[in-house]
Order: sequence, then structure tokens, then C-alpha cells
Amino acid sequence: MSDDLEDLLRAELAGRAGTVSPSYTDGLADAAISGARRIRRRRRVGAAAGGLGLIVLGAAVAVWTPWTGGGLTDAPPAATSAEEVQNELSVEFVVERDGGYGIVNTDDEFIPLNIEDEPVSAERLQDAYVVTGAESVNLVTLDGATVNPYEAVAGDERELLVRGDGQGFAVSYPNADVTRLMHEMYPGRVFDEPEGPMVLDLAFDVVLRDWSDDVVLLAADLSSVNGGAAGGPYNFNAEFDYGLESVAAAGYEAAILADTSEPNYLCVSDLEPGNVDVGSEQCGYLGDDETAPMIVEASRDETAPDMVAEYNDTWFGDADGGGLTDPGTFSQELTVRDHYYMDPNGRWQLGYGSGDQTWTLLDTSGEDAFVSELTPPEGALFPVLSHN
Amino acid sequence: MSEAKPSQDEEFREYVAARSAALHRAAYLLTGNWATAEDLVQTTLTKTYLAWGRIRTTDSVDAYARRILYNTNASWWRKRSNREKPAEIIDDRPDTSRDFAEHAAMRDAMWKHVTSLPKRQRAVLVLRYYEHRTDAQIAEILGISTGTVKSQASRALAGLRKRLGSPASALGLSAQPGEAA
Repeated sequence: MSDDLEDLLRAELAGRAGTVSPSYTDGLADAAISGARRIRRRRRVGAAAGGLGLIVLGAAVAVWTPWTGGGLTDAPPAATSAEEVQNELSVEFVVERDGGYGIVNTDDEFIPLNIEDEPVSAERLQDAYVVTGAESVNLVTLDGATVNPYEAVAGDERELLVRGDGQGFAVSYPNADVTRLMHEMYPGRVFDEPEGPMVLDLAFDVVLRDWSDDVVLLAADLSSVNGGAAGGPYNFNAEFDYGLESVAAAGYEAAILADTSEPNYLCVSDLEPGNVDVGSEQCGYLGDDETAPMIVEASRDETAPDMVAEYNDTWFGDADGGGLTDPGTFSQELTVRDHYYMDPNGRWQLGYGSGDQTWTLLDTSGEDAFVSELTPPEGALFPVLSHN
Repeated sequence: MSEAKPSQDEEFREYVAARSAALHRAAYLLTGNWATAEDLVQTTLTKTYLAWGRIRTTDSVDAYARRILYNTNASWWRKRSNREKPAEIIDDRPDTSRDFAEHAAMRDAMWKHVTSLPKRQRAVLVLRYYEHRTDAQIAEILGISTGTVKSQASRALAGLRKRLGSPASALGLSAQPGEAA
């Protein structure tokens, strides 16, 4: 009987796949190439902005009536100085001066970057800068005096995610067989003798969203499997090989799996740090009386429920209305410039072409957004993305 | 920072021209409708191009794209999957008719059941019964153990069997003498 069913299934799948042709194939490759190039540019924005960017700008409306959608270069925006954006928007810049690289901070001080690679991105954590090059990731003290250089996979392969509280960062990349995602977890402080990172070995199905010293927050498709039922035990990790063993091995007390489709739905795996014998998960809805205590008991982190709430606010927003609001055509225009950056805190966006003397600034720090032409500091290469 | 050289772009275009139809078909079986399938293929090709400089000279370009296709589909948010057509309620009674219309109805019910399966189970079925992959290959593509492949396939087939009864005998495809008048 089973063979008959399987034969029917083979016939059905082959028939379905063969009956209808794709409606388009022309331009697929060029669209993919263009899309990939945009992604490479946007990666400099940072993973945090990737989750936050469109949302934090949801309410912003660019105030620039002369512009009619014909391209930014047609418009006559007002001028903004580097000093203004340093003081008012806390923008810092990576610059190249006298054959060396450095950061011009908000006090207009030049902080030297003693790193091997040419810098391609820089993020400001609470107590340090993370500066990436093509082959390295460097943690640099705010005065530039000390650098912890870490070897890293090639730039195109990796993603950098900054911890929500700015106290650490992760470098993520697929393994050699492209079957798993590896997440190297780094501290946000510079040490005299830095140790190698702890590594999480996770399935593609789970997305690293945030973490603290005690708990890792992952996003996963849970409710389509179990219908979003509260209680447990459930065996997502065992069933789908999520890799929570590596989370336990890395010393975390718990892993929270936040659902990707049901707001506030989550499952918690109570781990024993260092013990890779991972058990089942208990599930519930944040907001239910028992869920937050369950999270805290498992993670020993009183702030863990807030982390999940932040994820929910960020990802789901106003669910059916303001969540992924169109940030406006102007913002979209910025994203297709040669270089495009967005403040993780939602205060500004910058777009410019290679070799441009001025950069286009979208100031989104107020209720209305304003466009201006920024004259960057001497030798400016790109802005620092600040998470502090 | 650097972009791919034109020769790499040409190689990529040739790959897309040669393989996009097959990717589309697999994507359709995974997603259940062509619009979502096209989105999935476009995303897959974009991700493939991002790694093109590394994989273009290897023998595993297509395997890489397949992994991306299946894993992207598995991880896509429901905001996308909501665009799929929902499966309708299926009559649990086995169909004992032999005529063509009812045969088609059986096939249709089977397809609806497949499209209603969790993504992982559907992916396992497509890889096993459409792409004719071994369980070891399926495990490699999906990044799961062969045990999970077997359990997912078993669960999906059990669901099919429950919903469709004994389809082969019902349709007379392997009718025994005296069976199914």
C-alpha cells in the first residue's frame, strides 16, 4: 500500500511541476545580480538596522516639496555641516588621512585605527568600536589605544549583529557545506589577552535576534508546527536539529525561541550551561501570567522578558498597520545610491555616490524628516553606526 | 566592496538560463503557487550570486542553490507564506470510484494535502518523490539528520494515508482479482 501511495505521490508531484511554466524567466539573473549588489551595500548598515530600519522610520515623512521623485540629484536641498551632524545627530565618521585610517568622533577628535585591513564598516558599541575589514573583525577601544583583532571569514560571507544593549556582537556565516549557520559570539569589551569567541552552531531555521550574558533569543517558525499551543513539553530542538546544544555549550542558561508569525508566542529551553544534553521546550505567550516567570526562572535573567518584548515590538510593530510601513519614496531613493547607511537608532540616513563631495542626509530625528546635503569631514569614507 | 567581474556575471547568467526552470518547478512544489515560487527563486538566485565568487569554480553550484532554495523557504516568515492559497478541508472518506473525474479529484486532494503540510515535511516529500533524492542527500540539503528525514517523511505519508484511505486500491491501480467492483 505504501508503494502505491508513493507512486501516486511521485506522479502527482511530477504532474504538478510540469503542468505550468514560470511566468517569467527573462531578467532573472540581472535582477539577482542587482539585488545582491544592493545587499552588499546595505550590509554596511548593520544587521540591527536591518531589523529596525524600516520600522523606526515608519512615521517619518520627508519634508522636501520640490522633489518629485525624479532622483535626489535634481533637488536643491539645504546644506548641513559635519559639525552639525556630529553635535546634533551624534554621527561619527571613519576617515582616511595621511595614509592611515581613523574615526572622527562627535568631539571632532581623530581616533587612530591601528588595524591591518582597510576598514569597510564600523559600529559603535557601549565601550568599543567594532571595525571590520575584508579579512578581519577588530574591537577597538574608544580612544583607539588597544585593538583586539579577530580573524574572520571573508566579508561577503558574514553578517555582523550587535547585541541589543551594545555589550557584544556576533559574526555569523554559513559553514563550509552551507548546511548550518555559525555564530561567533564576541564580548563588547577590549581585553589585554582576548580569547576566541564562543560559537553557536545553529540550523538555518533559527535566526539569532539578541542575547544577554545568560540567554540567547532566537526567532523560529513554531506556530505552524504546533498551532501556537501553550504548555509542553515540545521538542523543536530534537525534531528540527536547531542546535541548542551549542547554546548550552557556550554557557548560556536558556534559549528563547520566539515565533516568527504569532506575536508574543515563544518557547523556552531551560539549558544547563556546559551540558549539551538538551531537553524539551515549554511554550507560552508573553503577557500570560506564567510566561515571564518561566523565562526568568530558566534564564536567571530578569531582563529576558524585556528582550522578547523588544523583539516583538521590532518585528511585528503594529502588526497590520504600522509594522513595516513604507518609509517613503525618498528613503527608497537613498537606498539605491552607491553607498547607503541607516542609523540603528533611527535618527538619520545617508546616501552618496563614490567620489561625491557631499552626501545626502535624511534627518529623521524629529517628527518630520528633513533632507540636506552634508559636507562630510576631510577624508570621510563612511559613517559609524552607533548602538550606544 | 568589489563587485563581481563581468565574466563572472556572464557565467551566472548562463547558470540561471540553464537551471532556473528546474528551480521554479521545485519552488512551486514547495510553495504551492507560482507567484511565491518566483519570489523564492529570485531570492535564491540573489543569495547564490552573493556566493558566486566562491562557488562558481566548484562542482556544487547547483547543490548550493538547492540548499538555499529549501532553507530559504523553510525560514521565510509567514507574512510571505500567507500569500499561499490555503488548503481546503478534505473529505476523509476513501474514494472507491475508478472513473477519471474521481481519479483527478483524488490527485487534487493529494496535492491539497501536500500544500497543507508543514514546510519541512513538504520539503522532504518534494526532495524524495520529485527530485528522487536519497535520505542522506535530503538530510544534507536541509541540514537535518537522516533520522529526521525519515520521521518527517513517515509522518507526511501517514497523514496522506489517513486522508486518502488506500488510494491505489481505491483507484484500481493495483487492483486484485475480485477487488473493487
